[in-house]
Amino acid sequence: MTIDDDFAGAANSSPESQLARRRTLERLSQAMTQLSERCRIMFRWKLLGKNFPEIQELMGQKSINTIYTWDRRCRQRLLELMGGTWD
Amino acid sequence: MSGVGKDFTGPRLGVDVIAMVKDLDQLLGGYATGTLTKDERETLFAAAVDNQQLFNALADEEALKELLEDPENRQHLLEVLEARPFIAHPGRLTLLIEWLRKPLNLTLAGSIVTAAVAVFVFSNLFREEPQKFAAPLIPETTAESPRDRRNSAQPKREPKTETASLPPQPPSTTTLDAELSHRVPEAPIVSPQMSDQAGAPRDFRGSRQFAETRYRFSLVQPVAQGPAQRLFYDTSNRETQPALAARPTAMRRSARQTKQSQQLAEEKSIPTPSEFAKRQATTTTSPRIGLKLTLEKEGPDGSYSGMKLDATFGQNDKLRLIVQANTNGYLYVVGAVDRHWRQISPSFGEPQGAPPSAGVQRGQQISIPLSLGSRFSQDPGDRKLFIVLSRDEIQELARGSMTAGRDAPLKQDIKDFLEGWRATNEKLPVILEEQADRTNYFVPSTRATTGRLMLELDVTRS
Repeated sequence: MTIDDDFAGAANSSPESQLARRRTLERLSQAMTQLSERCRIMFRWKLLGKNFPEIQELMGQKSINTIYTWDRRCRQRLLELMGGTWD
Repeated sequence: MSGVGKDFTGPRLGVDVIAMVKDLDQLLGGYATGTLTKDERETLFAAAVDNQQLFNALADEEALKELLEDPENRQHLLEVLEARPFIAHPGRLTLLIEWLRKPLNLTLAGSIVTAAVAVFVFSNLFREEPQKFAAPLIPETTAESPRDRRNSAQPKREPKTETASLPPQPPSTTTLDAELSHRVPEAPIVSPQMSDQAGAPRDFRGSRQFAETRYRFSLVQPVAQGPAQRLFYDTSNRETQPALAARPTAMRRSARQTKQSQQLAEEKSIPTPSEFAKRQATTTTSPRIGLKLTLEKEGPDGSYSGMKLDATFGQNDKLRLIVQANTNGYLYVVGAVDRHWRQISPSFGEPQGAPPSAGVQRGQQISIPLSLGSRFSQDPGDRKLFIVLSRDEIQELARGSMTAGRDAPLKQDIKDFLEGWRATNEKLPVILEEQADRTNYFVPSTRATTGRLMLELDVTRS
């Protein structure tokens, strides 16, 4: 760990920041339940560490641009459900 | 690894930069979850350096990126996502349902369905309207000429076709007395021979190919109130035989003399209704001339039924006029259809060349077929029906038709005569008698010295 890491870790460990992160996580969880089936599938693959080419293969799409387009739409939809900001 | 690295050709100037930014915007979702490939990440960062919008967007994703870097948070979100079972390859129905989950999409779908239902309802609603007025097409009986059809439907005017006991048709030079004596008095109005004479029973339930235009008769003259029957059947109007004997001379009256007498009558004052009532009560020296008219229409079974005042008919419907005069005289029926004036009665052009007579007897019911037929066109034109009853023969109506030939349009002098009469004479009031199935029109003359009246009907589109 570097000094920067210690410094960043100290900032993230404050109760206020932890509370904020918890609330963000709850909002994010609630928003994900309102996503479409396709978006939920894509987010699940991404949370499992799959990249776009791998997701393309898993979802059986011929063009990776399709995956890019789907992901952008799903991200925009999730952002809308979050109120326009991730914080 | 494939992906953006293969598709990305490097930043370029101009419009391509904006297009590339939009394309690279698609990588932001992978940046927060840390799922970009090395090439994708480098491309995204390189583009962000030169583009402030992309740089700001990346900065905004830092909050989500930090949240998702915690393994516990990722696990929590995975549990949330996996709480509802996944469909690996969702079908179209599933995608449709997912699409309808969005409120905006659901509203849009509902609007489309509502509009489709409204169009369907209104289209069915108005499709029913033409069917109400569509009338079966009556096939033309081309086997017989219009003149033959009129003759077959006028048993009273063609006594020789009725029974063999009737005297033969008098020659044209016979007197009016002799001619009138060959009329069939009080003959039944409905001719049971009509459908038989026309051959096979007419099938009026023909193909309905289009909505037929409907027409109706309408009065031009004012409607008056009064005891129509009493005024019409007033016995004080009975004419004696000596008056009838003078007819042959009157028949040979020149046209110029007829016009002179008409002008003389027009110069006399027109009595007011109260004056007329006084004359009616005090004198019978100048008997009134009256006309009774009923309209009838042929039904599917070939029999005729009365028509009410507001009844409608199609251009192919078979109609007939039932006319009755309260005095001996002469009856003329002229039709003006699409600017063509045609004398309907008496019909002219007998095979033997004998001119028909318009003479009628008092109380005799005359049946005059009336078929507007194909003379109606889209052009409105003039559509009128003139029924003229005169104590004396009207030379203009008789001479013009005789010289015009069979079923020919009237000559101009007949048209001028009727139009001149309309312009110079007061429109006589008409008394309507409403019965259950028909309307009777009574035209009692208010000018006792004229001895001539006219009933004018307009034929208008319903």
